[in-house]
Amino acid sequence: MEKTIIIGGKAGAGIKEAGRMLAGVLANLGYHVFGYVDYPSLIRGGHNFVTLRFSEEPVNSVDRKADIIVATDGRSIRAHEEDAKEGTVWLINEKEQKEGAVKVPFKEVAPGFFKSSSVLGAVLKLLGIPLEEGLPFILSLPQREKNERIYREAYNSVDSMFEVKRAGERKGEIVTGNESVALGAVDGGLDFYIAYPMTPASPVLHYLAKRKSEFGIKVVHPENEIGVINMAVGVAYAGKRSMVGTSGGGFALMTETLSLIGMSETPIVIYEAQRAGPSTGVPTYTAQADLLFVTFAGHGDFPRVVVAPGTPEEAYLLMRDSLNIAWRYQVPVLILGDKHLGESYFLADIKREKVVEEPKLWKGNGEYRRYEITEDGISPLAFPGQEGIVVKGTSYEHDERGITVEDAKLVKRMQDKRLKKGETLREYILSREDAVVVGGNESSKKVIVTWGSTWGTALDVAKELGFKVVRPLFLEPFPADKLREEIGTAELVVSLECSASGQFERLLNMHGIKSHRNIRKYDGRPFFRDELAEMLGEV
Amino acid sequence: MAVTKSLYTGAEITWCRLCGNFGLMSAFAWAVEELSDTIPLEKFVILSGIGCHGKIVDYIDLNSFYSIHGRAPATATGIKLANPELYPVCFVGDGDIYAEGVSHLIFSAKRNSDITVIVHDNRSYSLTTGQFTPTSPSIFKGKSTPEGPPEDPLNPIALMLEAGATFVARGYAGYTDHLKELVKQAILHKGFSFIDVLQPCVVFFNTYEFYNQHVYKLEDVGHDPTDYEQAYRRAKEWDYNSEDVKIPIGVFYKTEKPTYEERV
Ligand SMILES: Cc1ncc(C[n+]2csc(CCOP(=O)(O)OP(=O)(O)O)c2C)c(N)n1
Ligand code: SF4
Ligand SMILES: [Mg+2]
Repeated sequence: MEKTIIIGGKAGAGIKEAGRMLAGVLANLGYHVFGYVDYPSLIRGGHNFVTLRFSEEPVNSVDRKADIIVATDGRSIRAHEEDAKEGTVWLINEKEQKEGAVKVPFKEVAPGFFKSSSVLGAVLKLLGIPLEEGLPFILSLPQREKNERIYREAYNSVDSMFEVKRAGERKGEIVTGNESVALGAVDGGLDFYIAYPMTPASPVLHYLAKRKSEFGIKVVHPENEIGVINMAVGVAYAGKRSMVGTSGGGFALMTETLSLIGMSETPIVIYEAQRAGPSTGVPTYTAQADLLFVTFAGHGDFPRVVVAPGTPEEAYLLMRDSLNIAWRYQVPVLILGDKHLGESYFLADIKREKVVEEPKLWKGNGEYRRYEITEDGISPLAFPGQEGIVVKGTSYEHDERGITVEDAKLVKRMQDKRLKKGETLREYILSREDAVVVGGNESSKKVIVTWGSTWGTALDVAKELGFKVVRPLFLEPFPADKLREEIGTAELVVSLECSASGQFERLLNMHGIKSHRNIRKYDGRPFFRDELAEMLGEV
Repeated sequence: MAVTKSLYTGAEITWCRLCGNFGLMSAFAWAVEELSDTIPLEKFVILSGIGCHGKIVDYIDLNSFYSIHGRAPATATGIKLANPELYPVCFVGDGDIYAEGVSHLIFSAKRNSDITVIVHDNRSYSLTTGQFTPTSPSIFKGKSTPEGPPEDPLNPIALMLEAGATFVARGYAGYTDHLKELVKQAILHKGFSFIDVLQPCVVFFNTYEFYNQHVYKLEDVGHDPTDYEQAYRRAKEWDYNSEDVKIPIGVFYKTEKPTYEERV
């Protein structure tokens, strides 16, 4: 059994919550589920919807066309008219009219708000899922008695039209990419999360702020992104692990300090969750158009890592690794995500484990030199407060002690040291097994090259249409050789991305990799499975 | 040499002869020496912005972070959050912190972050060869405003009192002894400490004569630094523009409040 369900309603009506509870019920029944969350940048009113697809087989994307459309208000009926296909079942608000639709009392907990329990009740019954399956979710809501009453009433008002049976053991938990990022950071030894609110990175701030005592971390919300990143620098200079989170506009404000991080060799992790730009753009929608900006941001030359997870499992593991990599090489590590990865609902099996690697620490005696020149370019770390030594970090070009220099020889010597460190880092990244990830029909001569969250849809379609999918996990240092190897002698190479100007394709070209065709989406929405299948059918 | 051997890095000092920065650096080094019985040297972290003032971190052999233009207080707060045993002291410029980084200054005060900010207020962007800053007076004919600034100066003392700073003082680089005492008090104060130091720049705005004639010490007139209203009145005595005034130096205001690092 595979179905796609759309649930639509006003902002504030609990649409996201309903979608997440339904995903939870389906996961408990052993199904694979994926949920796409679509909401405009407003607090009340407007139109929100969640699209869920579930199946016995893995699902990593949704379709545009739905089998079931739940319209909790009149606007949702009109908004999703074009998402219906033959045989689509409509559940509509009892006050509305639509031919052939099932009417449901979408009762709310407060006038206009929180219809999630009635939505869940109606959909579960329609799918033929026992009432008890939804109860644990309903009972964890505030105002549980009222919610339970509404849930039962909605459940009893609908007739079952499907028979969704148990599909085996539960395969994982429902998580978002943002939650996975947060957990990965905690398990990578995070001490401080510092952020200024900006969609779609804010959920990480909220998630960690709520659980900071449980995780034993501090969460700080300063005056602006410039304050954020410079505070993070101070934390790391003093020896604690810090991370910041933002989206494109906030990252733009941080770029001057990115160069400071490069020059002062401060270990910092930056989570950049892309949204549709340019500028304020379409704040609650997705894009992959900060790729070149993040990869090349900052004035001057300095090594960095840019890593782009495509699944919540990767988000967890790479986030955890990022903290260790930042400290091992004393570089900025940028995790490039987006709204689609950050806020979609995934079924994931994340095995949590704390992995906090000790960085290269100074164990010498005598005079400490913060920027000591070493074979691998990495200078041993020490922190202020240790008796008998002086730790000098700096934004200026400097000698080994950290004192300003302008002399040509010394300037070149220190640049060479950082280049050397960049080489050491490069060797490590390129030797990683996961530098390039492959999926789909692996022996196919038709290859999709993509990155980040677009992986999910590509993978789902590739299986159907016989494509191989190749994706670099690291964008800097760029695993060009591995990528070329995986593309091999393909007869058709299609680059796939959410960027109007084809930033990923340009990055590929820069590394001498050419695609025959490109597919670009730039309307703020991710690729939908049926849509991409159509597009790929045309190339 | 202004600082004693143990505190001097040996880096070549490139400030102009008689620059007010020398007096300021002496006062600080002297304060550190006098405090070293209470605060071990390794517990100090000095930070700086970018400008002539910033070079101080190259000269003084203490833990340091040579920050970027305007951002030192944010970094200092990060340091204090990460290790509350450290004493971060920021050396910043008037252009650096009243213009480029004013948001961090205001918020450090608002938060009562337990750091010290010492402003080398030469009322000029000196390292960039003399443009007007937020504290330059109308008579200052800078390179970017040859006719004088098209805006009036800002009063940083009043600004800090309003923002919530719990230790607010003004010093004069010419009175090293007096400044040393202010620095000691500022560092020992638990909470956000702020000192605006009148620092003559002999090249772009030589104010020694003017300050010698106009400054007076608040402690000589029986000022009560625990009285906010009085502090505010004293702060308003000089608007950083008028010339026929008396300029108070000393501690304007001092109070106790929980610090940011305790509350986060
Ligand atoms: C972001 C940025 N903008 C501009 C500069 C150039 N700059 C260097 S020093 C300086 C002015 C410094 O003036 P002030 O802070 O008063 O320090 P002073 O030289 O007077 O001690 C400026 C604008 C810079 N380094 N960084
Ligand atoms: S230019 Fe002015 S502030 Fe800079 S060193 Fe010379 S006298 Fe001092
Ligand atoms: Mg100045």
